[in-house]
Amino acid sequence: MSEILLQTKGLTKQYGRHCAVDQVNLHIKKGAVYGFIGRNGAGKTTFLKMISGLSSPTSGEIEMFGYKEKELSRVRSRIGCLIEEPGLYGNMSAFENLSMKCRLFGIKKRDYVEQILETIGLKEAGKKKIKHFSLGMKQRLGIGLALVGEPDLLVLDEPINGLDPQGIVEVRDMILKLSEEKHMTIIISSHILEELSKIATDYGIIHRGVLLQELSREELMKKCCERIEITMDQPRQAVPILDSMGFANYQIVDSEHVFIYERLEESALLNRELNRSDIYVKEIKITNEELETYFLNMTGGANI
Amino acid sequence: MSRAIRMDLYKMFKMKSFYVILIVMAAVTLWSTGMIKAEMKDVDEQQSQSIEQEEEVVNVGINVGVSSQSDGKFTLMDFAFGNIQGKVIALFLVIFSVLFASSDNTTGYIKNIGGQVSRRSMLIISKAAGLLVYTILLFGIYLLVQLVSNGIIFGYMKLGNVSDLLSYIGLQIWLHFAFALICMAIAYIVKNNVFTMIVVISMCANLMIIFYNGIDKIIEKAGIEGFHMIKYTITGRIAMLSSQASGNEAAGALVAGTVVIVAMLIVGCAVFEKRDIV
Repeated sequence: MSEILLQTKGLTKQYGRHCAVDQVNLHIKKGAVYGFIGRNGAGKTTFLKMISGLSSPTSGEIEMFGYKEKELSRVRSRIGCLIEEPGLYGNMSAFENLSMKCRLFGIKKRDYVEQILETIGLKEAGKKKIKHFSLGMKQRLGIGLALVGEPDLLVLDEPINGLDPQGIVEVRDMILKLSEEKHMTIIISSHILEELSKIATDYGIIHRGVLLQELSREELMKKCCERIEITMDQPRQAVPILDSMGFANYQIVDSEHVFIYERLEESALLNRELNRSDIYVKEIKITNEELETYFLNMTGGANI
Repeated sequence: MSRAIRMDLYKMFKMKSFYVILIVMAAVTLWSTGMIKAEMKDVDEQQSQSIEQEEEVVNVGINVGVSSQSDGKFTLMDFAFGNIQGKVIALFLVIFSVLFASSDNTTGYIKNIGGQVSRRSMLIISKAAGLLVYTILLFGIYLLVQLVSNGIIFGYMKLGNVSDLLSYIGLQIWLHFAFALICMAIAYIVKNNVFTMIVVISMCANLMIIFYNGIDKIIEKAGIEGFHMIKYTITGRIAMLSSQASGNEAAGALVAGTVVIVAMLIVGCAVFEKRDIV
């Protein structure tokens, strides 16, 4: 089992009467790409700011790399973050913006800035002033700034917001590369769920400041994937038939439903066998739940 | 700490405003020296007027009075005294101080570093170090430009009494640095560049005299005679420091500057440590 790199206990942020983050208990395993999902105003950015040390919690605890409370200051340099839009000096070049942070970290290694520029795909634009950068280039430079100092934990708040499809692919590939090659632990919040599903290994769903659920990719896929759905009065009656037909991957979901995750093409055959055994089926269908639908159902409605 | 200072010095030398303000100051210095020459006919009358005003009246606005201390020729000391006393140099310093102090917040760059330092107060101290370097540079460049301007406009370059000049400039650098930190503290507390700029420029233009006079009247009503608030302010110290300060006057300026510097650093650090970075 992977060790827990970051966990929060009862983490809360209150602004006057408004509770932006409410008693969040979150767990991120070392090496995970953690997708942090929620609607606009759910509390994602506020939470990520607390993790990144930009905002202090009203109450609760953050434990990171085995350190907590006042000892956290020892490990803050091991986090790199990109929160909201990247903060850059427009009259300086990408090289200069990165060099500034390198000086803060005491990094004197030759070609270090060039290596970061190469990682983020801005090698040719290093000398160009930021004010002439596109949004995608600024986002990538923001990630580059977060990478200065070789962080162990990378916090990315909606890094693909406003990017065109090519920009999204480039950022996705960069994140995958960082996760696979540098074994970086990454927490990434996004509205674009389909993109998140391509890279995240674990998910946390937050709604109105409350963490509704944490689940792994496998668990999420199981909840969303294609399946045969049978609606009947007593689903347990179907179990002997399913076993005799060799079905192994099925689940009695509740008092009226059975989900079967394999051999979807045999749904008609299954229906016939159930009828032959005098088991009456109200409905049988092949369905799946889109990721968006699953999250919308979790968070109760319209736009994420 | 040294790393943060290195970062802020790098940033300072890369800022456009760093060079623009120095260039404008140099141009204003050259221009104002030319204006002085153009008014040479009324110099004597202006001298007596400016002496009287120094003793009895504090004008609102930025007023530069230059008088020759020896043999009718203007020295670098004469011009430096007039411009510094009139808070012309302070004006350029405070504008840069506000821009530099607030640059990380204005650009959002603070989000890249604010959460990763072990103590945020080091970012305040590094900014202060940057402002000290800028203050010294500003004075150095001003003196050089003034000397060259004198040479161009008047055809001669006279330093005046060098030891008086150095001790006066040294004390003024300390007082101006304290003023720069006041600007920085206001910028951090208020988080609004426009308001901060208005306040600090008003301080240079003696507009705060209206406020100080109010305090003087209140204290006078309390039974304390002869109290003048302006004497205890940094801008007042800058204006009233004489060109040949006595030991007591110099010590007073040093102590006042030091107290303000320490107080502003404490306030700036306290505000920055506690406040969320948004």
